[in-house]
Amino acid sequence: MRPCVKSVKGRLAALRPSPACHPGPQSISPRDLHPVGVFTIGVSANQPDFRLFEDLPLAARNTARPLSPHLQIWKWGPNMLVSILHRATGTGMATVGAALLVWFLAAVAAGPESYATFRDVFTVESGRLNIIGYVVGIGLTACLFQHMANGIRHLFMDVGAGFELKSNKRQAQATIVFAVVMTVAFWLYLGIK
Amino acid sequence: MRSGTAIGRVRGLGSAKSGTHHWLNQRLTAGSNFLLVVWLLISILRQPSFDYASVHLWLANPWAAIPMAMLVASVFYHMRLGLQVVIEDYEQDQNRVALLVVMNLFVFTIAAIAIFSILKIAFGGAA
Repeated sequence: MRPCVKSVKGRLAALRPSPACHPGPQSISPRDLHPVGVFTIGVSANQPDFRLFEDLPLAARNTARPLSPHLQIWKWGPNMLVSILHRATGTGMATVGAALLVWFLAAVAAGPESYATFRDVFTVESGRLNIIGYVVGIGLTACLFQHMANGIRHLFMDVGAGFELKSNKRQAQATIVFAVVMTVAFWLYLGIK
Repeated sequence: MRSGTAIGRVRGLGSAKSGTHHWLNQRLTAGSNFLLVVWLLISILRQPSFDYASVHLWLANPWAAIPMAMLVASVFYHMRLGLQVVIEDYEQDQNRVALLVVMNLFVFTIAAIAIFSILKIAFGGAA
């Protein structure tokens, strides 16, 4: 599906989907809308009638409500990409990376045979990495450097810096460049050492 | 129409008043993670060999065992906070509660195995 938002001039512009891509108010009944109407996309001319909801418990979650626009709506940009990558790399390291670290530590603690079993999965006879070793190793380091760079970017954003559209985009691109350069440098150093 | 006043119906709703702790700890552990992971990466690059004897010798040294234990504590706590947000964003109702419990079990179990292994290497003598 083509992105609906072609040019993003600011946060508000991004939150206003073009009518051609969205069904508009005629397909959404007021019953489907949250009484508070926080995110009533496409229904600005059709405010929900609050009296309809007086008898509903306030905490009830209406699953028939329209969802807020998701991945297929937004125009892809570096900031959106690194935001998604941050979560993906974090989850990847938290599962695969953490399990591997613990396996490594437990194998060393258990003795030479256990460590040999661990090592054999990722290396060939000569001690060099095999294909699994390279895929997992390079994958995890790339994840780490991307998560690290974007994490530092987030710390700057937490103090209110770097929210201008241009610099925000530049910094998002810089995290990807950092991750690629550091991953290549790490493995080159490990290889020639 | 329900009975009660408007203020009575909204009281107790709104923010849970406990998110700041989560948010701040995620940032603080991000900082300690950075320092400890840089230590780990440099240590890996400086390893003379990855055979059993050299890896065991490295981790048996307090200068490696202590930062490694700190890394496990800091990284796994950060991990717990991060996975919690991911689960809360994508799962609802009973699934959310079940997954949060499973996630906590996972993190605490692997953290316990990691810390025990580090202590065993450090205090176990030459294996």
